[in-house]
Amino acid sequence: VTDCTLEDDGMEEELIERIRRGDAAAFQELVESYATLAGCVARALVPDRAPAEDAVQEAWVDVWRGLPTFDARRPFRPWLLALVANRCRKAVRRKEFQTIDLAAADADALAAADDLADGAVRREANAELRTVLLTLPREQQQVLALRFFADLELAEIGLVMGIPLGTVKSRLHRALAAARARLERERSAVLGGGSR
Amino acid sequence: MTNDASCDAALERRLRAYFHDEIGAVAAPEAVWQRVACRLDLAERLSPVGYEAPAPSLGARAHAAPMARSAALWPQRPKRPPSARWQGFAAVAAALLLIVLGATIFGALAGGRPSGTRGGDQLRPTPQRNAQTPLPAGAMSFVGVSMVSATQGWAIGDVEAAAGEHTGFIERYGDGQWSLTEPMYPSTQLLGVSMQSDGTGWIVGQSEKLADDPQPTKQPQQPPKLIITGTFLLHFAQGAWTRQSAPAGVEVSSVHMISAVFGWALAWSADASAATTATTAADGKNTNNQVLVRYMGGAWQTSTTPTMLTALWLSSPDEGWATDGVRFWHYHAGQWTAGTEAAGLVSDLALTSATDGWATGYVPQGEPSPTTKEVPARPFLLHFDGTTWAPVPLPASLLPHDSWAQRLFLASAAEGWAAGGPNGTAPPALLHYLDSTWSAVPLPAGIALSSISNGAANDAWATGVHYQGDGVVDQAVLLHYANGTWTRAQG
Repeated sequence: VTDCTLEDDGMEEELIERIRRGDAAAFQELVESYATLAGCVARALVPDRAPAEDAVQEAWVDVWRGLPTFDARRPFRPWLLALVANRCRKAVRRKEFQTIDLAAADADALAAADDLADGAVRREANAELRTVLLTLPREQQQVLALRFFADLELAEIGLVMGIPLGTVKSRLHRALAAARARLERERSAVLGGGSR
Repeated sequence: MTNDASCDAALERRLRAYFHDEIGAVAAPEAVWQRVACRLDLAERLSPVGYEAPAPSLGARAHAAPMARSAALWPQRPKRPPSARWQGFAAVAAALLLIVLGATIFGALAGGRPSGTRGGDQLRPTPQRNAQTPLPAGAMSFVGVSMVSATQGWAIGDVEAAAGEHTGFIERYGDGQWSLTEPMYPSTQLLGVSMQSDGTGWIVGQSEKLADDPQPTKQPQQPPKLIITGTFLLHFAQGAWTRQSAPAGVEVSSVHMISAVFGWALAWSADASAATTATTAADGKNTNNQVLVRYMGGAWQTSTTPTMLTALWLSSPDEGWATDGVRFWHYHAGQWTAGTEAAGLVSDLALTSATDGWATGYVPQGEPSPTTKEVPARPFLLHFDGTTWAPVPLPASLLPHDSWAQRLFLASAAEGWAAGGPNGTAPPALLHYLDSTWSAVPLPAGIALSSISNGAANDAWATGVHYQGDGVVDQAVLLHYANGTWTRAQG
């Protein structure tokens, strides 16, 4: 879902230069090119939909404000990820006084899942996985979501989470190992219960 | 090992499916752009960024972005020189936007306005009465008006010289006429005015200078770059204006007084200016450098805002509402709480008390026109009853489809105005709320309003512009509303 890096670095630099010259279409192109990536990263970091989307929008405002001083020779994607992560951290901190009813948004997501042909099976599998993932530390959940939902590279996960690459690797490894072990435990418990 | 690898692969596939189902699809890129354009439009109004060219029209292709709407709703001033026009629609829309930035900010923010964005040395200065010192030559603009009664009021504006610098001026209404007061304020833009019936009031302004190196090699036709050197406040009391520094560390962009002892403004943290925002953001620091400033107990006090607000109204020091263009925010006793998300894009809100207020905006509908790039939109008005923001039915005769009232000017719970700009060949929207009813009020031909202030019931003054058929602004105007009719009083 996040295959949205502009293919040609020179093209990206040119795009940014066009934006600096006041080309609105260029900025729209940039936003739309990276919208899915930014959205996925935000959803991986912020549990609720509305504040996550807010964070993305605010990050784009940061991009806009930062472009005049941004070094266009640098890759844009890491910078965007840093801005999105920054806004997400703020959104999570702000969450304690958020009172928006997110039930409708969550219902939308569930309804979409229901449309799947194998919805019942998937729901059951997801429920099992949800139970397992909820037992993991929040940081491990985020690493998994950034890796398998936002499709970030490990180095990018480090950038987003503000941790070294080695920590990303170990955290991801531990998360996968823990998830696998707990899934197996769950399965064993189910099978054991069924045999009695 | 192979077994472990296959287990990992299976788990990874399962995780991908899980996140896909549980988190669901993220917003479509086009929808993201709409919202981003909305926020950027409003952000630019609050704190313009120093791009080489004038701020791009983010709405040039913005499907339903308010920027695109506002750009089309307000007329264009002549550019200096004609070759400075940008290429293509984006250029035209951008130029339009830059005009609307100055105009539309009033309703939401009581006068804040970006700097250095207006061309227009073809404008004719308005003839002055009783002025001992004439205004300098250049393009004149009225920025805002604030009436304290039917017979007393103030208006502010500036004259933009050919070199790009501004001279701020203050006019006073008394004895049935407007008079230029002294002194004038060279190298200054006055951003907002708010006066009280007890004779006190505030004006906020910003000092500027021309950049030493306007980078002539890249864009020689661009207007000179202005550097804002600081903001300040003018306090009127006991018959005289006294210049005061802005609250420490902030750059105030608006002012709105509810009483002589309470008022508020939106501002920017001066030590996190736009030029440094990106760097600090990349370093993981807070990049929302917007600041709420409240005047209480004879002093200005600053506090943070929950997000970048685009319209704000505090009915008391501890009670108010704001919007970021997308969502309402409730302010109570120092705490911000996110409220409901509007069904459309909110362009302005205003309160008359903690239990009465209005908001205006529009809902984008359909695809943009292939020729004008404008997005069809359905305007809306919301009434706040102390609990909820509820839509009020709007007959098409009041606000036709594609028309839209951008800003609100409420005089009381019983009277107010909702104003927009021209839309294509259609005249600007102007609604008058009186006797619990909104009704359309005609304006003189070619007039669009930027701010309105009631001096008494059914008696108001407004600042605005006169524009030609092609949308080019040719004159700044002051208008008076009485006996159900708007008439040009100056300009």
